[in-house]
Amino acid sequence: MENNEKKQYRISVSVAITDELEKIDMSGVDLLIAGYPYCRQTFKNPIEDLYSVEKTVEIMKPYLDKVIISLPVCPIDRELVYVGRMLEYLCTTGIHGVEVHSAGMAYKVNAHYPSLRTYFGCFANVYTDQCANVLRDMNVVGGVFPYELNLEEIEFIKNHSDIEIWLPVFGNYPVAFSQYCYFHPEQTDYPFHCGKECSERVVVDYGDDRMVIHRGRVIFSHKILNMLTHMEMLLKKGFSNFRIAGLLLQAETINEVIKIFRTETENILAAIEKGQSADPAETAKLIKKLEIFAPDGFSNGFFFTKRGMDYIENFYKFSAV
Amino acid sequence: MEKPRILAPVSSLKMAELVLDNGADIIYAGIKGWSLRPDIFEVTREEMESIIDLAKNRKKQIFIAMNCFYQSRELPDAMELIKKYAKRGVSGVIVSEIGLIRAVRRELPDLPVHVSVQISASNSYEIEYYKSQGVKAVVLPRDMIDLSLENIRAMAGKGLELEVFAVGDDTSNYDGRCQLSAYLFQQVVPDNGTGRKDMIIGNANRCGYCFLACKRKCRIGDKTGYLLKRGDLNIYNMVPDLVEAGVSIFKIQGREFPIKLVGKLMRTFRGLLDNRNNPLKFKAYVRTMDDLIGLKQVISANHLWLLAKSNSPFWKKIRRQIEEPWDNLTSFFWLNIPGMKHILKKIAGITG
Repeated sequence: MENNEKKQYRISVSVAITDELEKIDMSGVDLLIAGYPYCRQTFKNPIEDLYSVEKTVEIMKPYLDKVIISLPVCPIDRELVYVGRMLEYLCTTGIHGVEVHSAGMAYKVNAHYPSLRTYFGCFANVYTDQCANVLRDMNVVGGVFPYELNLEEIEFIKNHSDIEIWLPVFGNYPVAFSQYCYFHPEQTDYPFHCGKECSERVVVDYGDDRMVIHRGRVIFSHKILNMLTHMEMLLKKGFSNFRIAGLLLQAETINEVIKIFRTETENILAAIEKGQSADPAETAKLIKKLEIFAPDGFSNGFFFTKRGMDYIENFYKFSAV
Repeated sequence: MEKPRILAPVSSLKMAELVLDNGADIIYAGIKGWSLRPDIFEVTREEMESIIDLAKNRKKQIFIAMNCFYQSRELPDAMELIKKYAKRGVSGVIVSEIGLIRAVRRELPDLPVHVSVQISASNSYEIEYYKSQGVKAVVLPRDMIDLSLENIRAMAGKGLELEVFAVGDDTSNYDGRCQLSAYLFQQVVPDNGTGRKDMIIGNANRCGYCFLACKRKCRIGDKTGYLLKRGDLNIYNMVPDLVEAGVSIFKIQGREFPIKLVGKLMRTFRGLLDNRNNPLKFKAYVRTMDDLIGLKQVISANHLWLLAKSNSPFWKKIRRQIEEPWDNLTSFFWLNIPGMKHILKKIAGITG
């Protein structure tokens, strides 16, 4: 486990709060994505300003080769000065790379900051193999595909592009992003003064058990994506990079979740080596441990949706929630 | 500075004739199954050919909307369609998918490409990138317009044409970065005759139908109402500033709206744009736009219930039955009755 060379798989995690970074057990993490990219003004955001970024780099100094800094999603022009300074600074730190959320930002990083490895986030709109290849040509290493892609599509991309696919396997995932903050609808300027209201968990209920969590400028899934029971299938399909979506999780939870996923993956790999399948009883035990982190339950996200399924007769049946 | 132009929606040959009669410079339409609208608001391949001929005869431009995030497997078919209509004389294509943009630029270097609003190009870096790809124009996100003329000026300075929504739905989230409808209401239905394998209801980014989840009633704590709904998109009174800031194309959204309403929106916006330097006339046009937009919002909510099985004879019949009354309601007589707009909105369920 300790030796990266021997690993047949990698786990990355996103972390949204500077104070939590210190508590992450980095021995289980292959890549850590620091920063809440959807709004710089969130509580103790590692990318709030240049000072915060410097602090993040300081905290993560022993692990900089494993740290990625997430850049803001859809910044407007007046934020670009900050983004530029941040990129210039990061070039001097020896950090692993940055996460971008659009082709334009990938283009900029590739053209002006080529020493930084570039990854893309789920809102970068990378829906196809051809799009992945365009980004690959801009030296983008890999990233997370939009959550609404199903496994079949992601597998197709895997087979037609050499971009690294980081498959999300756990956590609340973002489903919508706005330039406006729902807590401050009257505000038309950004950044603006706010009381960090989004630190509180706000559930939006549409009835019929349809719910989402909103955090100001972003809406997250209500149920937690959990692919633990499908890890064997994913490994057999050749997926080897897994992402824990940790933006809404605390460090203690992240550490525990990573341990559980590592245990399950090691069990599966050991079983595969012997030509067997992993013990379902062990998986069930691990699922039980994960349940305490998901009071609202688990979901499979969009991974198993597929074209041709006839849901129309069951109008209110849906799989993502 | 080049004269600003108006891009108008087309969901039938009749609508194409009407918007061109009322002053559209450019029209756009989507082929059934391949654009960001329910198939009843897209055109058949035969209709598309007639619309191209019509635009050519009138010496106007016609763009084909290929603006979904397709599946990888669908891209070759999408490219074939674009090639077919490029050969037929279409003036350009509106695209979202970055891979498809590159393919079009490589295979059809003379065909202008406009980048769709789905990309949410919110800053100069994005404009620089699309310029490097040989794109001609970029549609700006609906969200950002009312807060940053400064941003638009900076982006316009990068040398691409900028397009904004003059009239459009007031969504709460960035286009192309919202999967809320898919998350809450996803269903998949088999091929309904559009030529595609099937339609995904709820996956708005992917040729499916948006259920406008952000405008629906919801509950947060002990509050119930339209809590995630944002204010209305209302930029037409900013037109002089937007032109000055460098916007060169104004888009009217409305393929899903009754023909007469689209015609009136087109005619009014033409007057508004042409009279942007005449404050008195400009204000009068803004007032007319306000009325039309009030009605448009009502219909916007109503088209939701037309979505399911939209191609079936049953729904087509229902649609015909309601379309005429809605057209009649565009009469200013109706709109001027006190409280009428509120009542219509109430009926449509879009206000508390």
